[in-house]
Amino acid sequence: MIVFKTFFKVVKEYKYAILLYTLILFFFAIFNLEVNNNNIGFTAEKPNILIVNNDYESKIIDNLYNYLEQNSNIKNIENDKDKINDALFYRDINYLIIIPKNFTDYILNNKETKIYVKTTKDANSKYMDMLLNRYLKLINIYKNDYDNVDNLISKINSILKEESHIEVSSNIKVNNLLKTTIYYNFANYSLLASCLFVISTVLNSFKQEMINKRIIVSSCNYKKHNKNLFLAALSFSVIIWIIYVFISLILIKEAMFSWYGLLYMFNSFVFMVCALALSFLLGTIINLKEAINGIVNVIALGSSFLCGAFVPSKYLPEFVINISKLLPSYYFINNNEFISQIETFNFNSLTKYFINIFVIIIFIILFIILNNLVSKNKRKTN
Amino acid sequence: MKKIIEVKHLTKKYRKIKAIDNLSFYVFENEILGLLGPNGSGKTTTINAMLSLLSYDKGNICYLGKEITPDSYDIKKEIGVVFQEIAVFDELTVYENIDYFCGLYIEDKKIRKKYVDDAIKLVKLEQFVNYKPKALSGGLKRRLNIACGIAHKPKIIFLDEPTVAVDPQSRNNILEGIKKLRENGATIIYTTHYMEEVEKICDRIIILDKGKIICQGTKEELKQLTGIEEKVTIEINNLDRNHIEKFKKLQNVKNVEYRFENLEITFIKGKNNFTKLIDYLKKEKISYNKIYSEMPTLNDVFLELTGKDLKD
Repeated sequence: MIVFKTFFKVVKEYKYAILLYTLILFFFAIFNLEVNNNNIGFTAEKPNILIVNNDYESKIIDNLYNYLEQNSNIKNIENDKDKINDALFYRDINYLIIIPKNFTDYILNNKETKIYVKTTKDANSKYMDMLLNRYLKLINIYKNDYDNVDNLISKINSILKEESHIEVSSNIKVNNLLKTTIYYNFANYSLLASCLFVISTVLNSFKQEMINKRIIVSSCNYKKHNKNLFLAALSFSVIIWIIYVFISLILIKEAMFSWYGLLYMFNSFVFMVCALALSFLLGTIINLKEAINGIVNVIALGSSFLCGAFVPSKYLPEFVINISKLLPSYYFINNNEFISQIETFNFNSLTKYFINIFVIIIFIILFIILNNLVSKNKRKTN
Repeated sequence: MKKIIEVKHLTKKYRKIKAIDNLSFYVFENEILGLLGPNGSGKTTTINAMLSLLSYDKGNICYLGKEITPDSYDIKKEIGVVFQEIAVFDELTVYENIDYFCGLYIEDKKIRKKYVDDAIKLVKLEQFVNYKPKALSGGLKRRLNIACGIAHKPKIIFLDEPTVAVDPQSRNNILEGIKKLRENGATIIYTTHYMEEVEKICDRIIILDKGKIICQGTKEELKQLTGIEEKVTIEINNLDRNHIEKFKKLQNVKNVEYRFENLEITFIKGKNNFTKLIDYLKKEKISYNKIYSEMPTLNDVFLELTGKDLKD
């Protein structure tokens, strides 16, 4: 018990460092939420299109106008070949639709007809392809079921409305998951920095040569002493982890009180254990207490930058990503990114998640083995 | 007297060099045993082996008939150690430091509190209980180091050069504290290279050199080994050569030297050498400014036995 208590008495000396790392995470989370509320609210960019109608103004074509108008900006450009080509070249329009003569009659009477399109071949034009194809497919599917054009149009509109409703609700979920991913990615830095700095520094005090000698010559079982030290360090790490999870529960309730939240929490818990194992290794390797702060900054900041905790990994060059695969942070962050993309919860869909967890556990075992080897070697040298 | 520790044929090699070579000695209950020797003589290695901090090549070390091993927690419970280097937590206060090291032996909170308070009183750190080690002077840190080693009231205490780099006032406090510990029933093994300290507090002395015991006994026994009884120094101005030769012929005189108007006369064993010398000075009407007599020191013993100074 005295070892446990003394561990926390020494930890108390580093309360300001712990507070600092927690505040950094807290303010980052607040900032992240604000930015996401304003910007990540997914307002799709509407493509600019031009429709040249060579047919008469039928109800089918009017309805196509209305449908496309909801998802794009319909431009008004003079029907002149050169002007239209210029508009496409300068990206004033992304998509040109030319409706041929007799289109309405042909399509309703099962005669072959084709709408001509000209595009800028970018993402917006692909999106327009999708919208146009969807509308035409629906006409082809239902035209024989309805004699009346008004009924056909009303059926098509009801289907299109339903599809767009599903799309919107999915966007809200993605938003929240994105915020949670960003929070937990940043927690990579806070968890690593606070655990590594505090635990390594405290362990360094306990492992000072002369203090260690005093412990060895005492009647306290050395293995039991070290076990208590480990339990104290584990308790400290769990407390830090709970604080960080608690902040996420308050700030990103919607995502955290779901299966997604459980996955984020478990992933961060395993990573916390990894940070603990690494702290023990550093505490054993580093002899100079003054050097710990510098080394911890290099590890925590370095791995956070390399593995995409601050900048999403998709923006990082290939060679950086290859290097980051040698660090546990990569698998932790990779898992956070993966969680936000999960659609269903079953063993197959979570395979990648468990593989990443497994790799982090391998790192934990590796750090423990290294720590034991270094400790034994040090004891022999002394 | 009861033998509390027995060391037999202890040998420790570092590669081919023997750090300690076939050491055998006893420590009796409630004595202060001084381990004296120059740096590198094997004092700390001997203590580390006795504390089971160090494996050794030959011999055995028994506490009350039981051989000590790294897992002898029942023996370790009775041992307190004050290392040469200060071994305390910079992050803890004086009280917390003593409480932690005492807690490695004593689990009961109430008993521990009393023991910690007693240790603080013994080393006179009452005013500094809430201070962190960084705020303490060198002497106070040494006292804290001692308190951390002896707070659990051990029966056997190892003190490895506890007064190194300490001011005279703190040194006296520490030596007084050690005497008190003995009065309270502790057996003390004290290593140092300060012979004055050994002469002042130790009951028996073992002198080590190059890992071997060169002599052991009480200070009187050791001094007898030199064959020197006393050394008399007389301050005389312009003493002529004839007189110096006459001094050499006096009874029991071993050696006479005259340097910088100081006449140093070394006597071998014999009675009333000093009185006879004063009578002789009166008879020859030799006037002098100052005269004083010194008994041989442990350094003289060491010099006599090894041909070198203890401080070398």
